[in-house]
Amino acid sequence: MTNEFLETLGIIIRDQIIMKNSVEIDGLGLFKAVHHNQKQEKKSDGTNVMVPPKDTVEFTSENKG
Amino acid sequence: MHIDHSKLVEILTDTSGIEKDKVEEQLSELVAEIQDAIAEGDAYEVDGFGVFSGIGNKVLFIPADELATEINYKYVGMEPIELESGSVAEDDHGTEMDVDLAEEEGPFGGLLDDEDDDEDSDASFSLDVPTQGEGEVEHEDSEEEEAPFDLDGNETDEEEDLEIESPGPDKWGIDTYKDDSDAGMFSGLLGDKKEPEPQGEEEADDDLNNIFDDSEDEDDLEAQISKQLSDEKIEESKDELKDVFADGEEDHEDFDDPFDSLEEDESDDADAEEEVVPVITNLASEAAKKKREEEAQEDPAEDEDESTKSKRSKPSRNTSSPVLLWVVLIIVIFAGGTYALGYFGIVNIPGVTPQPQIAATQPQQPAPQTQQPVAQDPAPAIQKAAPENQEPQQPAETQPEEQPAAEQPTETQVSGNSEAVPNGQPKYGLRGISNSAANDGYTIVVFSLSKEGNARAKLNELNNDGYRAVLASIPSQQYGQLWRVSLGQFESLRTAALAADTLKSPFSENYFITKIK
Repeated sequence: MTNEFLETLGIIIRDQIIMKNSVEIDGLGLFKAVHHNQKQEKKSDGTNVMVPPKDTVEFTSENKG
Repeated sequence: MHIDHSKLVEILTDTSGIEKDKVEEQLSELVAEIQDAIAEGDAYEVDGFGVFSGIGNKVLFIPADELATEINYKYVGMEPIELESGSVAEDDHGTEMDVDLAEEEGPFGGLLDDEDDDEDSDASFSLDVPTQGEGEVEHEDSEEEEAPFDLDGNETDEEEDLEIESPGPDKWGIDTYKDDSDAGMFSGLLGDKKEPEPQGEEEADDDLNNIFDDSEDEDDLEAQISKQLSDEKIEESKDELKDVFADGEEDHEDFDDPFDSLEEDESDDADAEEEVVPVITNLASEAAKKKREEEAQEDPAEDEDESTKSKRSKPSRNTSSPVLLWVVLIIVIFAGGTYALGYFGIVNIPGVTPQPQIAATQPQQPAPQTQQPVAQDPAPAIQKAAPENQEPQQPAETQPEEQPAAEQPTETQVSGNSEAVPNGQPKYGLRGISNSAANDGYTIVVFSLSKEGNARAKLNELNNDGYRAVLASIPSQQYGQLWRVSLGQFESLRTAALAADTLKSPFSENYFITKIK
């Protein structure tokens, strides 16, 4: 297992997640993108803030433990 | 779309150029290493990607910062927007931190439910149950309102007595520690209380009167002497003047001279008879000066007299100093209180109130600049693109740039449809022709693309669908130039949110609203 392979694997998974695709690796689990909508949040100081949207990576383990 | 293991191997093979068997082998080796590390209780980190750790047999993945940032490249430049109070949904349960209003109502639930907000705000008032302290405040307010009509001053005293004697809630709260003696601290400033200082002022005035009496007596004495000089010989008068004015100067400097009373009697008599001759006064003053210079060398005791004089003149200043001190103290307290209110955010004072770490979306957007595609458009501030002259170069696809540019422009350029805006078209709206004059509003971003050609293809497509499409280039040091294709031009965030609700799939599933410029 080379570093080049690891780097390529990371880039491919990243690109697929950006394109909203889920990536499954046998024996490991499933990577998928989760989109968080733009939303309002009320801070502790009373100010209301419109939080921009963001995407996160969610990993589901193949072994449910 | 789902990329399963075999599809992933194919992509790896195509991308890396490694044979499929070796790819599968290395992938299996990677999985085995991760599982071994987790079985041993360790974590396995892939640089730039993330960390695999485990709880029991379950594998946890924590994405690296690079990965978490790069998958959000579309939203680069977006920062939290502090909403104005008028467009914010009221939250009766305000003690809870970071309430996510979007979970149940959608991202713009607060903006779309103004009627509910009003009802909530009304309900909040109706649900207020007066506490003991509030009741007491209301009671005091009513007394204060009635007070102007209480012409009988005795009633005020009775009310004070009642306040003192009343048990229970009236004794609670802030009035529990009310001290009447403290209430008089500022009464002197309001003019309703006499301070003991006027006695000191009277004494000082008496001293001043004595001083001025002495000076008047001196004038009278000079007049008397001038009268004598007019009758006697000049040489004899000079000698006498030296003696008399020497005494007069001593009196002027020493207010405790026991001979003042005798001189006052003489001066009163002379004052009633004659007026002052100014020429003689000048001669006398010259003689007095000479005498003073002589005695200044001889008698050092005069310094002590001067110090005594200065001490006596001080009380006249001290009478006004307490009032001045109180005024300064009140100003300092007021300024300090105002600063404290501003510092803690109770009152918004520019420069004092700490600003939150949030800023408006896309703060680095200076004046618009022209864009190269359109040459025939006569110099609007924001030039419009010419979609008819451009053919779609590549299929629109959300592809990030692998190698972000090192230096990027720092300005946002906005373009839209090159067609002329129809006369009847409203300034803002979702459909129609994009209007450069409406670029001060909000828009619904539906695409963020890294290639301008793809973005313009999407722009043309949306224009052909009748949307008022806007193309904006967003500079990013990390991802290079991003091209955002958005729908509509809206005057406010609320109208943009209302329009976004009417969008159909796929736009309704992934969009965000931002300012055009």
